Amino acid sequence: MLALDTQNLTKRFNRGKIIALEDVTLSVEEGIIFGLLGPNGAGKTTLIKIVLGILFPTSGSAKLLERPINDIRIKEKIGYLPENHRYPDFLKGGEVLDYFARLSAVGKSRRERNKTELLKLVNLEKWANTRIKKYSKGMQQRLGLAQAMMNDPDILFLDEPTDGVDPIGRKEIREVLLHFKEEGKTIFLNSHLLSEVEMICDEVAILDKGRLIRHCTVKELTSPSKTFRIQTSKVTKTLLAGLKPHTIEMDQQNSSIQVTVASQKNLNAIIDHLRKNDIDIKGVVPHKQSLEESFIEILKKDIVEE
Amino acid sequence: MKLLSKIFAYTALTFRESLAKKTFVVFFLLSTINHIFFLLALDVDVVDGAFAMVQIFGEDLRTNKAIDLQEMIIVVESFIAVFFGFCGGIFFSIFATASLVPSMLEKGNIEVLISKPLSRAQLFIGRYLGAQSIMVLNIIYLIGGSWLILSIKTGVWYFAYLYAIPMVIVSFVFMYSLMALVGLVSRSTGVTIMIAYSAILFSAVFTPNKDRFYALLSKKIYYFLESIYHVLPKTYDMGFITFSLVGGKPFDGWTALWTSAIAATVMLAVSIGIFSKKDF
Repeated sequence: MLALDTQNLTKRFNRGKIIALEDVTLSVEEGIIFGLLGPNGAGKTTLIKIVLGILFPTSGSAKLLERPINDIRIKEKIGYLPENHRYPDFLKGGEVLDYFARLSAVGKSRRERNKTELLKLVNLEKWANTRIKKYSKGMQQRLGLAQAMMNDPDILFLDEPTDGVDPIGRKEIREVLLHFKEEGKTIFLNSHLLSEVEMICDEVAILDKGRLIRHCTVKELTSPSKTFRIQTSKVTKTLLAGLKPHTIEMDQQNSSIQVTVASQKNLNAIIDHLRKNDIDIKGVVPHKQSLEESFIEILKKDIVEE
Repeated sequence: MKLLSKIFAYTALTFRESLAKKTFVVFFLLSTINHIFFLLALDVDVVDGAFAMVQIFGEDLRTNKAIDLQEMIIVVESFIAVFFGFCGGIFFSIFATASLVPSMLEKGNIEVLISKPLSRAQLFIGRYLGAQSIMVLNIIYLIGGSWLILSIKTGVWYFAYLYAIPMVIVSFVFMYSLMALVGLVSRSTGVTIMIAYSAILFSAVFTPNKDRFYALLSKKIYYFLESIYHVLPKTYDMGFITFSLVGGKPFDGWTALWTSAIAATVMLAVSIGIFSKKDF
């Protein structure tokens, strides 16, 4: 089943002068962690807000769990943690969970059970009876995450969930999300921390200036490339000249050479050439591209294509 | 049932917000001060069914010594019902509830609310009912309490005084329709308060002087003011009906009430319409 299905979703502000989202068609299977990436103003939050009915699309349509987004009942299966959320600061941690779950018509016994479990899960059980105005940013984020999960949602939308959270807290949140995914649920994660997205997301969509420029798996973006770092005993100009016909790109740093090749055959030819010239090969390390590198590369390519 | 429980959950949250912001408590305290005022200031001595002495802070209130007890009670209680119950009640209620719509719309809060399985109309109605619950409880305490004190002090249980309770409640319900609309459009508590008081001022100045305005102004301007009069809550007329009801006097009929009700219903519908279509 599709967790999210959008068709030509477009949102314009200021009587059409500002395009926040343009023709976004996206299908996401349920049971995965899906990352929404893009620079500031790319349209990530706009996309989430449209799907949740907070913004209305200018044109296009969207479905959640194969039901139109304007069907109120679908929201019973959704949890949302907005960026810069503001829960009423006069409430205590436990009360925030209780009040917002009541808005989702969660019954009393289920509320009590979920509250206890979730406060424990986000490590706030000792703070349940403290007013949230005394909470740190990280604690508020964790409480927000628990709030989003109070109605046992099938889909979680998280907008910068680790914003202001320390590294230990971030790790804890990641564990909570992976646990949620193990239960077969879907998570939409909007985060600037690409290392984090790389660690937990299965698929990503990259948005830029409101357009969807890439939708693929994280593996596809971070799979070992055809670039290798070859550590050798020595490098000479003649040697490099002999390697050049086998490479697409070549760079030398001290005694190591970074080569980008078209195929495995070229890499073998390079190794053969080095060995023929009595060069010791200390190592051949494939260069794995990080999500951040891929992300920047894709964005640069998009700018050039424009 | 599930739907009502969701709306009431938001009404309860609104009520809780009022408690936390201390607007409810301050309203309650001011009503209590009002009660203490009557308790201490009003000194009544009834002998054989007639006032032997009626004093407020030591000043004799009786101008006509022949006035009987029942008449005196009606005059005093009509005055108190309008000035303390009606004017005071509306005055405090505006302050106690003006921030509720703007605070609902604050960034970071409204997004979470809309993501819940409630329609926007249900959310708005939940907030509206929350504001009314704050006002209703305080009005009952303010007017009911003063009635109790006056009744115990004078020994006369004048039940018509209690007409002021539904009249103030209904008048404020009308006023809050305007406040909710202004709060929604402006997202500002200050603007909401200013418009609410301007509406009351307009009603108090225009309604009793319609003839003078008609004589002094051009017809275009007069009819413009007349249109505004029909759109805004008719607080002055409602106060006059309250005074008449409590005092047992005749009044011109219920036109002001039902026309205000229609205007308030339209305003509430417009507010819900705007809220339902607004991007956040």
